[in-house]
Amino acid sequence: MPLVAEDLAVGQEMTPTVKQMTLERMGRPLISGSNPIHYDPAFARNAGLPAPIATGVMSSAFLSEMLTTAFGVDWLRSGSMDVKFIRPIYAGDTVTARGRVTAKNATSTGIRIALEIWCETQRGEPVTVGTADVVVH
Amino acid sequence: MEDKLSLDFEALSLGDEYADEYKLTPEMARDYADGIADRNPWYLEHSPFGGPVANPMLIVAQHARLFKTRYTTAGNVHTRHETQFLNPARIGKVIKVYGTLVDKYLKRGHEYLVMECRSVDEDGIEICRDRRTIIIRYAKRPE
Repeated sequence: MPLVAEDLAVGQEMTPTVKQMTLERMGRPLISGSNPIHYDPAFARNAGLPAPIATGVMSSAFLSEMLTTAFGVDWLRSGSMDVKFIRPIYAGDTVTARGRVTAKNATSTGIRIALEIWCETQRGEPVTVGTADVVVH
Repeated sequence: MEDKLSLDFEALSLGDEYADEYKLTPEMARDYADGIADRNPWYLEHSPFGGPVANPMLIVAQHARLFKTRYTTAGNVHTRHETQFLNPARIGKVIKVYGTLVDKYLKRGHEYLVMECRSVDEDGIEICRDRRTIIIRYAKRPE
């Protein structure tokens, strides 16, 4: 059930989305784009990485899932996100997508909700950080 | 098997345009749902839009295919995206993807490219816009 905009308060946190990373998922062609840096240990080592890294848009997908749960059809029709991938995600990591409301404003088309969004791993480090915005009708 | 060119930072020109298209199939929707462990029925069975629609990030992820129309992209790393969702993409539609190289720069020994992309379905409905930044080959270039 999507959230009701009127009930949202600045500072409110979204219900997190939690995912386990596996090399099998990271390496699926549709997700990795068949780029071996996402699934081939030897290729990753040659690039100076300790292990294959997940493609950044996997973490964006976890954030988008959290926001779809929160805002329903409005996210697919009017959502926007600006995210940076600041640390690598490896197979075996647990990734948690989180979000917090930073602003809420009435507009001519609905209530615009702005959020701070991020993903963190079990190490407590942010790996993906950014902002999101959605107009809720 | 791979007979495409390597991405050459110096040779790429701002304003270069890329295009590709693909059919958004139920199999793609299922494979993506399994890959990111998001089995929302909107993407697989039915949705408030009258039939299954694509996970919006599946469409964004396909923007990576643009450079692959000409170059091998092994070793590239995505660092940022600024994305606007405009309409859901219906499963079964052909999606056309367009991109323009809008910036390139060196930073801390890495070669960065910025491409503005958009996806439009076969009926002309714009699905999303995206500005994506990548590093060409993660290994740093020689000093």
